[in-house]
Amino acid sequence: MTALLSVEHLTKYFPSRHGVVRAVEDVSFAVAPGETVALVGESGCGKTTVALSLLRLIRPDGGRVSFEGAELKGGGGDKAEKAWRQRLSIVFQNPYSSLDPRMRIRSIVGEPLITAYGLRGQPLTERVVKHLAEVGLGAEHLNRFPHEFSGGQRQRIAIARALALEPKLLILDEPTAALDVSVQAQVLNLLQQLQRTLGLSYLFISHNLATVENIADRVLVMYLGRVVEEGPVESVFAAPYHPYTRGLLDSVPSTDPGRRRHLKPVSGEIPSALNPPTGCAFAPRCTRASEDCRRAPPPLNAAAPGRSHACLHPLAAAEGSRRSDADRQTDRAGIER
Amino acid sequence: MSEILLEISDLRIEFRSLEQTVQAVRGCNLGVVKGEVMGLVGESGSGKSMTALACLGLVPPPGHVTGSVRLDGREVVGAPEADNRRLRGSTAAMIFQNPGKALNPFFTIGRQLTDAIATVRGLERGSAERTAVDALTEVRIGDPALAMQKYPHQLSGGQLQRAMIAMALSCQPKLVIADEPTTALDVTIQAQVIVLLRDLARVHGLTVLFITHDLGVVGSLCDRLAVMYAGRVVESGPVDALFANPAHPYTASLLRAVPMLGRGRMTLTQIPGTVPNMAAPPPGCAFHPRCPIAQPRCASDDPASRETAGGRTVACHFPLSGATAPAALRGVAS
Repeated sequence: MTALLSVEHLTKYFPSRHGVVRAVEDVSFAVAPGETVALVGESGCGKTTVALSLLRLIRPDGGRVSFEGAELKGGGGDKAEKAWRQRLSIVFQNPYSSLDPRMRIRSIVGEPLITAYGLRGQPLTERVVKHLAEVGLGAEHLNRFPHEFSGGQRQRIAIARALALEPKLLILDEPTAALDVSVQAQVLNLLQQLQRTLGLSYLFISHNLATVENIADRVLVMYLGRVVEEGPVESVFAAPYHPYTRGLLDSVPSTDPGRRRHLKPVSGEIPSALNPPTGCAFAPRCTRASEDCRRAPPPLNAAAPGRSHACLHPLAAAEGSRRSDADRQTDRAGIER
Repeated sequence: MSEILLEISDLRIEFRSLEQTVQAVRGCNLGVVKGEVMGLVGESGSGKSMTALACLGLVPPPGHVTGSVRLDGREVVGAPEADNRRLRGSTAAMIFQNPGKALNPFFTIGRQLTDAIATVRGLERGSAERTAVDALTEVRIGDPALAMQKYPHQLSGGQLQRAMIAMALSCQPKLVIADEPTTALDVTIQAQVIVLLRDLARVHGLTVLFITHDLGVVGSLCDRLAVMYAGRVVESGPVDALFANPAHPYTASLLRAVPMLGRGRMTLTQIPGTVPNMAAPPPGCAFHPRCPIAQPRCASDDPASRETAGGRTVACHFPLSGATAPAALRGVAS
């Protein structure tokens, strides 16, 4: 299967007064047609920088990005970037700040169509109405302003705007994180339905592992600018190789009995991207770290079909899987306590 | 019978302006028993934070508070500000969502901790300082002596929240109110703070009112929980029983609307509509416009909160029971 989007060795450094921030370092992945790939990690891991680099909203310092085999060259000029942005689009986290409060919904969703195709009048309105309908909003909203809508409806409008140029790939940057708990499901279900009807691919950026499990096919776990593990969501979450992935999973609180008192947090905090550890960035927090880990960052290597990890001491399947006997014992002790 | 430390009865908080009156809290009833960790869950605008502020007499003007909050036998609502000030810190302490905003950026952590301890406990500076270092040690800050000398901007969010917890505990309050203390933190740091709070509560026999919108956090920390919707507690009870068999359709829907790790790719139950506008809450049961099992009666008749078996309460005309609940609303745990 040929990849729709392919990213190779993407790198982005930000200069700052205190030194260079290595935001993204040597990140490679591909998104197949119709697939949802999730980028997960904590704040500062570089997931949003990857998204912005893909859209050329910031200029990466290195690496290749191609769409349907055609590479976007750094010096391609405005025209190439404009054409590029018609194929992929983004929905931002906060629909309260991503929609211009002074624009009517008609203009918000219509603006990309005017800029890209110069549409006007009746054809423009028809397209806008069509995209609003795709997200479940009626034509009666055309002349309203963003403040007249709830958070969930605003995010629908942001999705309609992203769909306006009929892109093949949508980048979703924490699209439900700013929404009320009771409306998150509406947006997640809408995204899944749109994917089925329009054949879209998603790059889903999130720190919420439960949401990722619900929506994504494959997952890339990032830590301090690098991908530390990659694979199908189901198998990575069931039996991760990388101790950081295990730690993330064990940090997610749950309502399910048996998992409720199961939190096993990773000790320590994320190191500064200004001054990252020389070797594996996770080594200072890792219980399995050895001297070798501190020498050089381990490369991302294939471990099993579709799976890869960047760890010198990966967890074996039995250790990685959540429900080992020892865990069940601690579970029970936890509940009794 | 266990002793009730905090009792909220028929609490109402209104914000009046020229155009409208926002009813932030509309008759909230809640009791917190000594030694328990109580979760108060709700979405934004449900009134949970206002309820917490009212417990300390901290509702900002022009908020108009009526009803009753009894904290350790003393009435807070309508009490003179001087009395309520004595209550804060010594009887009840609060941990806020954003420690960066709650601490003063111009003073070191040590100075702020020492000041608080000296004021509330009447200790002289030397012993207040020692108490502060002990408190920082207890919340497992890497190097307590070093942390004392740092300014808030020099610490990470997780460390700041630990310092806030240290400040709250060092005054030896009977009740700790924590308002979304982990929401601003990363997942791994949130887990550290939850485990810390859980351990501290057990060791000190603390009573905690823990406010959050995250049901998972409640699951891993709390003994009991109360669910708020539109300014009122719609359901309360022990966490295990309530998660296994939610009685209120709102709780049941919420439990199935949120993705939970380990459940795979299930289709989430959608709760239609949005949270109500509290300037004009729906008549009758505030949840009825979004409720999958609402009857005509729900639109006119406001259900009172009733006690049911097992120390639970529910405010619904047609509460669910495990067997009769529609499949879409059955509890997630089995």
